[in-house]
Amino acid sequence: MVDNGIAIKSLFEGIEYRVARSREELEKAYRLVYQEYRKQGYLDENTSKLQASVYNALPQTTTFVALVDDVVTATATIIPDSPLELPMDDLYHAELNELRGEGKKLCEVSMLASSSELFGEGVSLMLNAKKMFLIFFLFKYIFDYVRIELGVDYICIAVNPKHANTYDSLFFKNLGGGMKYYSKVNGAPAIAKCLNVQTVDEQCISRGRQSLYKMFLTGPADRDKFSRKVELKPEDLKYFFVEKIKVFRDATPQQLSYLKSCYPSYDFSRIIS
Amino acid sequence: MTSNLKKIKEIIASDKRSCERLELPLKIRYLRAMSPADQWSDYVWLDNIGGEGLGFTDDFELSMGDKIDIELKIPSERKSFYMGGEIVWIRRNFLRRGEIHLGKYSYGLKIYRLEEEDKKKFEQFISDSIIEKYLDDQGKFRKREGKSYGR
Repeated sequence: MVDNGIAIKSLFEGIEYRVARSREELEKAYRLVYQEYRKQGYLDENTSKLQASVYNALPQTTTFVALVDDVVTATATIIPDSPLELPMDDLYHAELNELRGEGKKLCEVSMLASSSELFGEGVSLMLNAKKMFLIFFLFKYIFDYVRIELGVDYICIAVNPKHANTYDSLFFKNLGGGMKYYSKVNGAPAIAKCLNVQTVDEQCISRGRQSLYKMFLTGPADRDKFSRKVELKPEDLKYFFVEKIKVFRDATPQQLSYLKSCYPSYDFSRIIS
Repeated sequence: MTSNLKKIKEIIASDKRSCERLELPLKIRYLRAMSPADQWSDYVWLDNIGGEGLGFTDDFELSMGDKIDIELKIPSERKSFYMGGEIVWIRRNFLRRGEIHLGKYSYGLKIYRLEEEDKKKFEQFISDSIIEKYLDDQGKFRKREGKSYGR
């Protein structure tokens, strides 16, 4: 029998974690989110078979991918706070504003998905080594990115309560506001969690979680993983947010105004037409 | 399908169980069927443990389908975990000359009852133990599996 340690090492040698670097990789990430969210009943069918929002159009938004050759097997998107706020402000605006009022810099991790073709349904993330490492390594690069590149104070996330244990074990705390029902995901239940990025290392040590320290905090961050992030050109914005998904059509004037300010050299009359 | 993806799917598909099994120096004791309410077994070492079940060896004969109450002690927790388990696998052990007596029967047990608060801590313990098993102190995969704690 093959040593499971050799098998798992071999498995992860075939997976590349980094920021999405092309329109094609973004599209594969958006498609994976759509497919997996459809399976969970979070989305209605759409003709584009993609899931994205106005936040994906912002230049500061970053999508991470776990690539096996050219297949996206897992993905998550980081949305820094901005005048458009965060997607979860729809439900937890008051609670997020408390952190903002303290001068804290926030981001949201959104659109987290992994391919159920690999592991099937009902495989618990915390109890299956391969699934756990698939997601935890994605989290590790995200954590390095938000700490080093973004310098945020809090990572915020709206999670289905069935996943709450996983985030609690990673030192996420309840943001407050209780459980709510999120219309963006067909009314699925959600609770808001937040992670104080500045105190994670202390918590690992004080709570005897050396394993988490080893998983997320050892070794230098590989900043090459964050390099050459795809920059959306006018044709990319048109492709995703006008032709594929009607995001710009449905955007508010405030959202469009801010978007235009993010891309001062782009002719939005041509993008949106 | 690309070759790396095929290889990854094969590695994942080769897993017999959906949950990792760990060899850890843990002990349980259990309430035997048909025994007085306060008659616990002696403590026995586990053969292995995972999120859904555990294996142990003992001289006492249990039957397939038996449901037993188990006390599991975990070093990082002050309080023991109490869970309900069902025997789903039995192997009779026959000793050869010179072999150490490990117990007449080896059992596989499926956990069917665990309090919600204990479940959180138990899953966290398993998850942490998985990280310990596979990653070295630099957070890289070990060249060989982590030390296997036997008896």
